[in-house]
Amino acid sequence: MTDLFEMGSVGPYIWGAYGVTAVALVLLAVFSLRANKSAAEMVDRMRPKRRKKSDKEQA
Amino acid sequence: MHKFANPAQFNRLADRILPWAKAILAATLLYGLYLALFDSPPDRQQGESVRIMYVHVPAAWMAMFCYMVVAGASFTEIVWRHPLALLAGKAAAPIGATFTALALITGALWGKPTWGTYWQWDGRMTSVLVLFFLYLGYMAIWRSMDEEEKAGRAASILALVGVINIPIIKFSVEWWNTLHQPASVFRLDGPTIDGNMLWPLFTMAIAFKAYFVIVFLYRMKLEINRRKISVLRMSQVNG
Repeated sequence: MTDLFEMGSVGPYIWGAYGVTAVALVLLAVFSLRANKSAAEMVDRMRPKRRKKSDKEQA
Repeated sequence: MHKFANPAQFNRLADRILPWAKAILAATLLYGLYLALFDSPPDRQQGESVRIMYVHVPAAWMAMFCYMVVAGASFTEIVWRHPLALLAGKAAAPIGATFTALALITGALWGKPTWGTYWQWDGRMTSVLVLFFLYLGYMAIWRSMDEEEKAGRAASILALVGVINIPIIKFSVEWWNTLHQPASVFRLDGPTIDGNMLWPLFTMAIAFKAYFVIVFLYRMKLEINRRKISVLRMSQVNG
């Protein structure tokens, strides 16, 4: 297990590269998804609501 | 092409693509990480540090690919006035900037154990840094103007001018003395890299491409929703 992390003394560089890549890509994806979700909710809130027709009107 | 100018049609297409892209990302990322970290052999000269290549090189490819998407969208907007082209460029730019930053950071982390330095002002590294600034400039122009169409037009012109940097990045290792090795994958006479390293490299490249498709489609949806919000606001103001 220690070998896996040390990788011949260059472990910190390797895990650093993979770690920073993972963090950056996850943050970008989460931010994009959340921003899209809240924008979609806002569109739904702002859209003029269609009034339900009453039974009388339907008749 | 104008078939997908309709946002509803675009959203339907995106919803069909997204599950496939997510499945491809999950499969290639898991397999690619296994190959890159555990299965591929250490390099004869670089030793274990060669494993950084499997994130650094695909990130650098994606940095250039995303820029071509931004430039292609800008060209489409300027020539054909495609309604979604501007949004496509705007959606792709932050993804490209992220990949460019990752190429620079992982390159520095690879450079230290391999060359003994994090940074050198050589042709390849400097031109990739210029690419990062082009992305920042493109995004800054979008934010700097209230009128979206004007901002988009100015950003598109910058993106098209900046295309000149792409061949400079590609051929910098041949034109100038540099610490980077010459091209070893995309060559006319075939790749010079060993198959044991080529396979994880391509697997990770496919994973990064699938990631791009997913985030790009969500960001396109986001830009379409933002446009809807501004239209709804205008209609509320106008009564």
